Amino acid sequence: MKKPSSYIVSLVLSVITVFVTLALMGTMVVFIHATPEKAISLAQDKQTAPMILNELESYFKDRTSSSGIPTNVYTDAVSESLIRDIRDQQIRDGFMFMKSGNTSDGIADLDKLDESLEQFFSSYASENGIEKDKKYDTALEKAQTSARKVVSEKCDIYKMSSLRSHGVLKKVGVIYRDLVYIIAGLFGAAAVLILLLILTCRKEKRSVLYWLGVSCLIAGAVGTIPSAILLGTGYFNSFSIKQPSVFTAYTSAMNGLTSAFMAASIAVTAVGIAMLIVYGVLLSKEKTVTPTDVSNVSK
Amino acid sequence: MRLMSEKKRNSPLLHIATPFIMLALCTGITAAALIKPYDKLKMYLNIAFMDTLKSEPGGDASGLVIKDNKIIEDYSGKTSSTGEVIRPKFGELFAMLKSEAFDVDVPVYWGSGSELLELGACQSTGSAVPGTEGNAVISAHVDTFFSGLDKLDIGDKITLNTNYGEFTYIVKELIEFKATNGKYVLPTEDTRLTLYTCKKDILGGSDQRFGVICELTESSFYTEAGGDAQ
Repeated sequence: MKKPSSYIVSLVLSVITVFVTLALMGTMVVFIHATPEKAISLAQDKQTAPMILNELESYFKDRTSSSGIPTNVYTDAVSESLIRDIRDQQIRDGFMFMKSGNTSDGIADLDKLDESLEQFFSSYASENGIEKDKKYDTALEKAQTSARKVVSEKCDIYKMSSLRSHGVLKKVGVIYRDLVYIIAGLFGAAAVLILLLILTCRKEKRSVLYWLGVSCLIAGAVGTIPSAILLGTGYFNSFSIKQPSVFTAYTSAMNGLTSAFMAASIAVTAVGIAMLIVYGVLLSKEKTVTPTDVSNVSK
Repeated sequence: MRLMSEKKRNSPLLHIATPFIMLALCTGITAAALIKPYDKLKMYLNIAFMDTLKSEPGGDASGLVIKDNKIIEDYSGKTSSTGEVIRPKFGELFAMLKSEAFDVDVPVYWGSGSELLELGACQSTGSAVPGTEGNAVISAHVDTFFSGLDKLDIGDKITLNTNYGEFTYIVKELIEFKATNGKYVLPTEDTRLTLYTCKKDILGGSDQRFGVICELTESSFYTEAGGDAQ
């Protein structure tokens, strides 16, 4: 920090380093935590399958008066393990779509649900002397399509299909697909910035430690403070999402990602503080040298 | 003298002040840079977490039957500048609206109502079906599907994909009017597309509307089977 010009250049390089560090932390957190395995594991840990089953039961119960179809026609055909399979498949499909732009052939087998409805319609027709004509077939098909859609929607706890149909996953996928290259690029950028700092501070090499320490400290603070506010105030928990399973999955995922980002930020802050302490020690050692030595340094 | 000057530059004050200068700079830049992504994220969440099952087809007590058609978006067959349109039924998804300004592809439903507006944009049934002469009027919520409407500028391209053709429009005029003023949603002699939404009002509903009037520049009616539905 001997020349104003080198101070300004170091300051600018350090500010860029802060953003590269923040981007690196963010992408690393997404790379490690935003995976289908983690999303499925979270959904399992939070017991979302029984929640979905309850929601389905309550939904079909509410609809009984208008549809005339008893709740058990649906609930008897949909088990918790089937719910889990559909839920997990939809999570995998969402991530697969982001990675490759494709999805699997379809959701888990819902033939049992179709059969249950077919059986109910058939008994109803026999009991009431209704002819199994085109109208009957249309009504059955409509009920089956509707039931499939309801089950599928309720199991989509991360709302992957909604995000996909509106083109959001496609846009996110552009970044998600190349996350490894982006991380590699950011590491490269960080290395270049450190080299530039070394070049700028070549007459006083120890100050590289100061600038890097400050960069890490600020990057850590910029990451830690908002994350702490989000977690401390329960920001994600205040979202008004009507479906309990979606609410649980979404808030847990967001809180998990924020916590991971905060942990990374705290680690970076610690690294920054360590660098500044080392710099301080080096500086104080130099101040204790003899006057002759000091005059040599200033030349 | 030189030593004194160096001491001044290496002063503890500068060492202490630098992190604060950087913190101020970085916080400012971060806050400015996050405004747009935050708005986008909010819109994505609004769209994703809408309760689409409220208007699930087939069993709604209100009698509204919503039909989600698959819209052809990659037609590769022959086209013609003239052709037949398919008049949609109320509650039917019949088009996809696309523009660089929008962050999402906007599904367009025929009809109106709060349930349809939660699923996409709505075209007024009294307006012209895309592909016919007249004013095709489409509206949507400002916090979801038309959150990017204010980004449209004169000369911007808008595409409307239907299952019978693709229609390209260019923004000709930016408009602002009161909800009670029907001037822009009335039938017209020329062929145009009018898109509008509410003005954001933090105190609640706003009676101000804003939007764009677009001129039709290209009609491509599909003349043979081709392309995959979305």
